[in-house]
Amino acid sequence: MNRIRTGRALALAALALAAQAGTASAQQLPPAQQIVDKYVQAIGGRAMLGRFNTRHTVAEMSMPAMGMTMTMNVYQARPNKVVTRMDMGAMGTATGGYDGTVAWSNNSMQGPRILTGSELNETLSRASFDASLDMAASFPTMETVGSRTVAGQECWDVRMVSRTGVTVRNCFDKTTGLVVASVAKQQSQMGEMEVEMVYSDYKEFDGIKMPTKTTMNMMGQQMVTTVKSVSHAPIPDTTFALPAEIRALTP
Amino acid sequence: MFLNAFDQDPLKPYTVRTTLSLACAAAALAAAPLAAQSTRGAARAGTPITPALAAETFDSAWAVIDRTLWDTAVVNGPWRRVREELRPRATEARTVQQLRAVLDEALKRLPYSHFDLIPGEVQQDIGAENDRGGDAGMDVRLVDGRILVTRVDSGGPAAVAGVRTGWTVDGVGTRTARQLLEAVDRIPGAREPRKQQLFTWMAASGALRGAPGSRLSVRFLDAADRPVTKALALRTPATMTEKFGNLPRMDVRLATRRAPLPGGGTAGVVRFNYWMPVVVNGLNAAVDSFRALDGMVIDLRGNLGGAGFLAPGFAGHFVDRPDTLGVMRMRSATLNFVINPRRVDTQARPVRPFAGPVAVLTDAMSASTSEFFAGGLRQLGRVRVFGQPTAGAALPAWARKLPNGDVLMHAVADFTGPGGVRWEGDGVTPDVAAPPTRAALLAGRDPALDAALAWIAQERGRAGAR
Repeated sequence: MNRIRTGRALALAALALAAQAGTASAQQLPPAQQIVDKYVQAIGGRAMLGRFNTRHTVAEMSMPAMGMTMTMNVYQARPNKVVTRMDMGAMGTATGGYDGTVAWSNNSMQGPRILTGSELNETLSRASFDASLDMAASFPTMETVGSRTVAGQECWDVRMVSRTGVTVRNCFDKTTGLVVASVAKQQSQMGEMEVEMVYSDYKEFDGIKMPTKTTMNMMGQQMVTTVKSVSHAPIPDTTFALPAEIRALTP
Repeated sequence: MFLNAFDQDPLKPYTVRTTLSLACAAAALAAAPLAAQSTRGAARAGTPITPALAAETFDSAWAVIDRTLWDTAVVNGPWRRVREELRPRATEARTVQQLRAVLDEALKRLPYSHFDLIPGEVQQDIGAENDRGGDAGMDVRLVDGRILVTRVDSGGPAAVAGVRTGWTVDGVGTRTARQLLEAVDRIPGAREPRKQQLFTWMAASGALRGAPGSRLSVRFLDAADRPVTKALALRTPATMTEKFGNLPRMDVRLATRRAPLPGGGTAGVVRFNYWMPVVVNGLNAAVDSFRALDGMVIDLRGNLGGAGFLAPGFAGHFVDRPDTLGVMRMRSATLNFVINPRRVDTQARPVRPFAGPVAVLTDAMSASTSEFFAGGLRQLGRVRVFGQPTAGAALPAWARKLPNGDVLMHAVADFTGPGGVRWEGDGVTPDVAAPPTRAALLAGRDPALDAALAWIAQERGRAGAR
């Protein structure tokens, strides 16, 4: 389930991990709002981002050191519906989603479950289709905390806290404005762990720039996600309907 | 196989456990054991290696352990000295075998299990072996110094040939059982009784495999210790093959049946040999089909482990409130193996987790994930364990391919069960000791299963009285 949420975050990449306008930042650091505005412009602009109501992302995820490769499909619809399906070969299939009311997951580890508590909060914090546009709604707290270098690129480090308390530190390229890295505490039923992601190979899909490569480090393991395709064609609403095994769990 | 395994020095068992954490899943993988080295592997061990590749391989192995070993006292002490002392020797290695000797020595300095080097060719051979692996339709165990037949699959080659449980395997092909046992005795680690059982079982099980359709000559001693030779026509077993990341291909077996209880009633019996995702659907279906029975028996004898994250998921079928099967402490995170009650069946119908008595059967070949499943649920008061002590090899581990093609298995976490109990080393001690005996096997009985069924019958009686 955590896998599903992170997978979705990976697919959403910069969009899902961006942040909203923040409070006053430290001296000589640009305001977080300014950085985020530049980011929105860099990935295509508010008008372009608002053109679409659905998105289907296909990505390949691999763990090179362990010889494992997975395929991921992420379906999103405005305002906050999402379904993720990961085909993990020998590991089976993991699915998860949010239909606007119920956040759920289903995998071989835990079986079908309805998410609650911190897992629900994290899902909600990332479910918004307009996460990169409506940042004020998603991240009420945002602050530029410094600058650093990621993969040879100077970037502004912006700390963001979602309405549900999820904290993310995104680093925005000083030149291009694009998100190049993020660090977040991943919440799950199993506990909390820090996840570091580096974004690269930005490409344009229907006028929106997205990173097509995400390198994630977590618990000493590295996972590389490569976006294969992004489509903004309509997605049937049934795609987001709760699966039967989840419906059986709902009151 | 039988010959090959013991013609070389030494027989190296590879207890391989994979603890995989999909980074986004926070899930851990646990164990999956492998087999013994092959002759082909030994032959390739003499392959020359360049100093640069030897150094790169050593550095890669050292670095991954340095980065992931949870015990920072070991990391900052002995492991630093390993690099200082052994890296120069690694760079002097001129053959793959010499490099492996250095890496083996490095791994032996760690005070934990699940640090093993799997030669690349062995990994390939095991996969190929499993690909072609015909089996004899029987299982064996070391009992009182004899290799006894402990199970004969109905309709399998051994059954067709008239082999009976309790018979002694006295030889396979041109090798005698005595030679096999002497070879095992030469392995330093095999002096510990559970390891001796494990190594003997691994060797004998391997010997009893071969190409499907081929005939394997096996010499037995029957109930009266009379020599009996059978030519077993090896068959392709009804298994599910699993290739899991860098691990070799594995034959995964799942068997279910209904067993009558003494005094009436029925229990469902589930037996499987690896905790691998491919068994999940079968396990879920088994629980569904047994849901209305008087009890369940989960037979983990010979189950060497697998994907650890499957254990809490399966445990959810037997626990009616959220709980924790154990805690995995890694360098960078602490993960709870949370049990979520399974409230939906395979047909998407609402159900309650199974509330009847559940028995778990274990022996020295029950390792890793099997140990924390059995031990964890026992600590939670949900199962009763029957049989023999488990392997005591319970740490989660990952498999990493090294630059020279070998695979490093390395433990990445400590694991404790409910209440802080640990199974590393000591294993899970059964509530009811019920080792196999020759007399019982010859009588067609299975002491551990019999004890489990008797307990379930007793619990059934108590429930009826209430």
